[in-house]
Amino acid sequence: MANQVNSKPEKTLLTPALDIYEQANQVIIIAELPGVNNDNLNIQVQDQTLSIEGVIALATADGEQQGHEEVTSPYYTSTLQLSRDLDSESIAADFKDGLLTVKITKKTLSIPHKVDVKFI
Amino acid sequence: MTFSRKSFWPESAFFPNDIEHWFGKDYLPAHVRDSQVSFPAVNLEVSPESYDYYIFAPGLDKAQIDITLDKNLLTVTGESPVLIPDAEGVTVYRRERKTGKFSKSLKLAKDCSLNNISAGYSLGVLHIKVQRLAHTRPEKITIT
Repeated sequence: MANQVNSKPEKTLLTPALDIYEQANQVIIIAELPGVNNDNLNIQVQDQTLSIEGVIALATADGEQQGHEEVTSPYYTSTLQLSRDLDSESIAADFKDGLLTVKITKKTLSIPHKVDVKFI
Repeated sequence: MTFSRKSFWPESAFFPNDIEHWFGKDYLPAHVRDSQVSFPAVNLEVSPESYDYYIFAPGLDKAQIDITLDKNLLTVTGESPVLIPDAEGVTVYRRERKTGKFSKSLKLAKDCSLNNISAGYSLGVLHIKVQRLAHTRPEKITIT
């Protein structure tokens, strides 16, 4: 049993809780990354894939030992495949109090619009 | 802050520990994974001088966090905001964040100095520092 426990990978990754919704001409992603500061947050888009990575950075006193732990790793990671209807060139993000908000604009063609028909 | 790989589930529990063992924690669906921690998640670190509680609660309004101490029971209350608008034309794809009011009670150890408690909210983490009584700290005895 001890060997099995030791065979786990060294780095445990946490998946942040996500809220994702679509509104008017954009899709909004809200990710919970508590404890991550601006320097340790990395957002990347490549080939319609959005990657969110963060590392918890909290100051601790010397000689502290873990007494109880529910957040078991400092590493957050999440990867999302973006629809082709989303414009990966038009992404805005802000980060405050551990909440990351990413807004991705829909491509103009994918926004429903009324077609005027000429009745002859 | 240090992180260890300690699991608080007993080894005998079949589910979800076994799935976690074979496939790793990330394999679990969000609702199973989240059922293993309380809301909001709490880490406690112990040093000879203090007990440090880290409550992971992003997006709180600092003014609405309430911390009360009744004898040795420290209670933290707050509200995690709902950020998905309840409006027409909004299509929700994922709603994983836990929202709403919460109340977390922490029973303090006997060697806590109840007059020496400080708290700060930063980066979505509420840090409560409870100093330990001086006479209960380990001290080295020199042999004369």
